Amino acid sequence: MTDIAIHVEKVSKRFTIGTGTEYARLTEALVGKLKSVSKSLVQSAKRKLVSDASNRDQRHVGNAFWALRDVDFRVHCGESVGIVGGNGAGKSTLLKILSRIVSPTSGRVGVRGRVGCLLEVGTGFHPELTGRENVFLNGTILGMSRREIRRRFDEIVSFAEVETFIDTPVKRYSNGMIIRLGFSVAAHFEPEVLIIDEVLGVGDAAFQARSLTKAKEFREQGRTVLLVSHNLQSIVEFATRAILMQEGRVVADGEPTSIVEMHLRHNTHSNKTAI
Amino acid sequence: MPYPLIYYDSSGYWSWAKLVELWRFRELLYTFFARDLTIRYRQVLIGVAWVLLQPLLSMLIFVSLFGLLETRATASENQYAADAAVVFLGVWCWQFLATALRDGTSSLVNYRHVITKVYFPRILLPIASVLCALFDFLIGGLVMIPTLWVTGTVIPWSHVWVIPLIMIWLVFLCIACVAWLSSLNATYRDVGYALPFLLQIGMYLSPTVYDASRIPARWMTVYLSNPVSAIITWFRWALLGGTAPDFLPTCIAIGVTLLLLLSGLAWFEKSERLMADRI
Repeated sequence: MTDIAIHVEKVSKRFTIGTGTEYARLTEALVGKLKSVSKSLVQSAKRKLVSDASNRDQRHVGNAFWALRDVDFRVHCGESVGIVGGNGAGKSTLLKILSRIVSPTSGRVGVRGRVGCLLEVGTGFHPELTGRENVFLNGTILGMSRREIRRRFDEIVSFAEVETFIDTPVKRYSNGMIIRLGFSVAAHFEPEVLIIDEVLGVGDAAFQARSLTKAKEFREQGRTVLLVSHNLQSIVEFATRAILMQEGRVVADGEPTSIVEMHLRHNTHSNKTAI
Repeated sequence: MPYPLIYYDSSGYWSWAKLVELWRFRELLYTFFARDLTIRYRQVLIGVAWVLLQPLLSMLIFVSLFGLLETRATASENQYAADAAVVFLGVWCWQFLATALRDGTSSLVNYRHVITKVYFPRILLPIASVLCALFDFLIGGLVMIPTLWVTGTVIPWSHVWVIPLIMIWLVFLCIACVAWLSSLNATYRDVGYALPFLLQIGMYLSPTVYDASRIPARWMTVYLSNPVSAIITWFRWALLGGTAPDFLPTCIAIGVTLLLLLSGLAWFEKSERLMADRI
């Protein structure tokens, strides 16, 4: 087969949850540190707690929560992979790690080329700047070069249908115009790996339809696409391979139809036990 | 395949790859810089006037204040004029530092909605704030020439060569400070609240509105080990003449700056990995 585009190698991600005072204020953190120094007598007990917290057999350990546990898979160039799993299975965390927004607690990820994310459109738009300035700002934040943006600028603007307003500050735009312009910038970015999280893009059916069209274009061009969706139909239609995640682990990996079936079976099963 | 497979893990250290990456993102740095400038100078006339007026007004206030408080026997108009030049230089430098630190510290928090959505080297945001403040600083320098002329200063031309070096030093000092402050502020918001107070204290601890020569000689080495004091004193030496600061405190001040810079970048790198989780 072809080269590896994405390599996820034994990735785990731990979150520390809700102790409230933690990390809120520097003064509190310093006081906390002083307290822990004065409590050095009980430190041996504490050390035990820490070693417990690195134990991934249980998902909740103390106030540690393992969002991902030893996730390990490869995606080859040109594959389109759908990721399915219930709420809280770790799908979004995985995508965030792949796009380098958060880093893993252990393990590593390898990516070939630029990663594009259709997580949310219009990221970083500033109301005081004009449409033109925002296209450049948003485009460079996504990872495009200024030359690339200049080359495709007219296309971006006409696709968004905001030609006459392009030198007007974005604060005077309607919501629809802002979303169209933001999507247009994202859609004209051509990364080597595209990540789409439809779970986060809820509420806007038109946006979901458009991002799926965009993903299909990408697949035709032979680029790598990763899709997370609650819409199982779109995964079956779109993906060449699917990965099932449960409780922060990869439980199955294979042909989309059978993976989706497995996911549905598990769902009805867990619903029955809940009843 | 033109692209190599690049691995990312949880370790974060400054490495060759990091520098290559920063170079790859240089256009984003320019974009952030241009964004900050455009927003600030949208109403061009007011924007520039404000930058020019600030050091001038502070100078007038402090010179008149000292004139009122002080009953110097030798006080003459010339003395006040010389004081004015001293205060102007101090306030001008301090304003750069204060603006850079204030904007740099809040730069990450103000941009958290983007930080939690897209990856880019986070250090670009505070650096862009510093560059933006540098732009104001250079514009403010335009008023300096007429001010020096009005106050009748004879510029010691043989000293002027040192100015670019001091400016580079000042920029690196600002980057060192914002690397610490912005990443701390991302996790601990009280840093942002404490900063105005710290800046005020810093302003009086450094020779912004007075001349460093008023400090008792035995405290001079300690006093000038503060990089800000050293920088302002060197600036005054370059443009107004007088005695140059000693070699030893200057070396200590440069050492302090380097220490702040390296530790700041290391700390930033370390906290960058968890930034999106905590900000």
